[in-house]
Amino acid sequence: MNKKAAIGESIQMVYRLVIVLIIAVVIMGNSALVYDFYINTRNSEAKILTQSILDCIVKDSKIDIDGFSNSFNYKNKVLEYCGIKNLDRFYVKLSFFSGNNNILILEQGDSGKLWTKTILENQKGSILKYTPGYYKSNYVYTGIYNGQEARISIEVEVLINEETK
Amino acid sequence: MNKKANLLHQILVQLILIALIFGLFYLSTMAKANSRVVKQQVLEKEIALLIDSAEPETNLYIYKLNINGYINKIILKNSSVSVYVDEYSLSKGYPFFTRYNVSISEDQDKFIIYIK
Repeated sequence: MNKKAAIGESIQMVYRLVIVLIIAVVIMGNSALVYDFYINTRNSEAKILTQSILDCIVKDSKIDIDGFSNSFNYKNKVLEYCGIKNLDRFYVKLSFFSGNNNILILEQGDSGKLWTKTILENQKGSILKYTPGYYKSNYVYTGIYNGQEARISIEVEVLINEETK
Repeated sequence: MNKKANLLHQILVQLILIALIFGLFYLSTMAKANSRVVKQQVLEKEIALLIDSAEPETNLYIYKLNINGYINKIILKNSSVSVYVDEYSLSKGYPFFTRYNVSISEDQDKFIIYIK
């Protein structure tokens, strides 16, 4: 092999190594983004909070709607009534139905937080780690309404925002 | 023959260098993935979810030596849980919302969280 060819091959080797280095840096950059490791547990928290609220307002598998309507001072403070902590993060709405009639609504929190969810739903990338936890479900119980036993269905909507601390 | 040997030598050197570069990046990525911050986040959120879903009269046993590293300290303060893993001394804590009273005690090899 002559001298010129040897120099040419050495230059080619440096060139290849630079390409490999660039590829490695790109992989490293991507993996660094992927491993900006954030576990979003807010959906699970929303389900747990739903169950916790139902455990609080349903006594012995029954709901006393009359009791709520007459003496319940917590219509906009259902979380406080249940003794839930860290209230700033939550929006909770419980709609009670007898047949198709909406007979009572209990809620607490800022319903404007639902906008955060709507806005972030259409986003991509790392901003998604701020997506609130959300859970909406229907439950049916036996209850006391207008002095009579009735089938009461409850629509529960829970939203959990990012932790502020 | 000499030319072939040279070529083989060059390819070998290149392969070793490439393997070294990727090895270094792989190690640094692994180090980040297994960092104490990640372990801390996993532990804090797991414990917060356990506390939130626990019924009254439940005791949670959290062993100091576990799959996520060695837990030096767990603090429950202002309804949030802070876990200090592998001598990492910073924690923002993760909030829990349970409606029951929560307290903690430290045993020799574990922490016990009481939900009452």
